[in-house]
Amino acid sequence: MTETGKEIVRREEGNLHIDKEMFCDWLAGRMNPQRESEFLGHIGKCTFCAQQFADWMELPHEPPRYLKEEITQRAHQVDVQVSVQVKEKSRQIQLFMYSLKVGLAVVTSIFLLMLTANFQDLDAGAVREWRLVRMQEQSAEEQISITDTLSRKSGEVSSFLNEISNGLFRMDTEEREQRENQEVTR
Amino acid sequence: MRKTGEKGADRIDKEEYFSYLLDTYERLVYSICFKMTGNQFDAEDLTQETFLSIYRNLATFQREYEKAWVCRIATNKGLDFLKSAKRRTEPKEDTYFEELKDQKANPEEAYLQQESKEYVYTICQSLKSPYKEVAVEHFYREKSAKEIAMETEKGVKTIQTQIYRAKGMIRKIMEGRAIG
Repeated sequence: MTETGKEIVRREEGNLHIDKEMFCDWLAGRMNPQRESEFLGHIGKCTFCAQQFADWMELPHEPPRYLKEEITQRAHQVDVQVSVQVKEKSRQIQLFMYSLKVGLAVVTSIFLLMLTANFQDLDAGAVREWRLVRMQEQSAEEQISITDTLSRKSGEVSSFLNEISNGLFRMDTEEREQRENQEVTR
Repeated sequence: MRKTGEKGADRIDKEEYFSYLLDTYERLVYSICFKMTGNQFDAEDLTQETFLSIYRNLATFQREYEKAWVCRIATNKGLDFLKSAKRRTEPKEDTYFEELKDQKANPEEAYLQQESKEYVYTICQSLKSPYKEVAVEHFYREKSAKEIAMETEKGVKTIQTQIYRAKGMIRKIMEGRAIG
C-alpha cells in the first residue's frame, strides 16, 4: 500500500491525528513537501497532536548560548512592549464593550418588562376607570331621568292644584256675583 | 481600576513565566526550527520569532497545555518559513555535506552538532573583515555581543550592528549557493 493509500485508510477510519510512523517519516525526511505541509499544518492546529509531536521530538540541537539573552533583550525592546500594551488595552476595551453590551441588554430587558407590567396595570386601571365613569354617567343619566320625572310629575301636580284653586276661585266669584245680583234685584 | 502594585506583580509574574518558558522549551523550539530550516541562522530567527509571539500573547497563553502550545507556535512559524518559495531552494546541511553523510539510520547527537558547527564556521569564513571575525565569535563560538564588545573593546551597539549585517550577508551567501 502506498503512503498516500495509508493516509486514505487512516482518514476513512476517522483517525485524522498524526501517529509515530508519520512522525518518523518526517524526521527522516521521507515526506514530500505537500505531505510535510499537511503534517505540520495539522500540528499547528491540533493541541493533542502538538503534544504528541513535542513528546516524540528528539532534541539533538543545542541552541547557541547567546540566543536566550538575545530573545529576552528583543522582547524588552520598545516595539514589542508597545504591541503588548496595545494588545492588552485592546483586550480590556473589548471586555469593557462586551460587558457594556450585556449590561445594556439586561437593563433594557428589565425596563421592557416593567413597562409591559405597568402598561397592563394601566390598561386594567383605565378599563376600571372607564367603567367607573360609565357607571357614573349611567347613574347620572338615571338621576337625570329621575329628576326629569320628578319635575314633570311635580309640574303636573302643581298644575292640577292650580286648576283646583282656579276652579275654587271661579266658583267663589260666581257665587258672589250671584249674591250681588240678587241684592240688586231685590 | 487595578492598583499599581497589582500591575507590577502581574508584570513580574509574566516576566518570570516567560523566562521559565524560555529556559524549559528553548531547546525543543530550536530543534523543531532547525529541523525545518536546516541551518543555524534561520533556526535562530525562527526560535526568536516563536518566543516573541509567545511573549506578545502571554495573556491568552494556555498554561495547562504550554508544551503543546509552544510546539504549535513553533510549527506554524516553521510552516510560514517553508512556504516561502525562496527558502525552499536553500541547501540543507545533509546535502551540503553530502560526502560526509552518515549512512547509518541514527547519527550520534554530537556528530550532528559538530557538523552543524563546521557548516557555520565555513559560512562565517566566507565573509569579509570585520564581519568575518565578529561572525565567527558570535555564530561559531556562541559569544554574546556584550562579550565580544568587552574582548575587542568596541561598543556593544557597534558589535550588534556588525552581527546584524553579518547575518544579512550570510543569508545572501546561502541564497546564492542555493541558486548556484
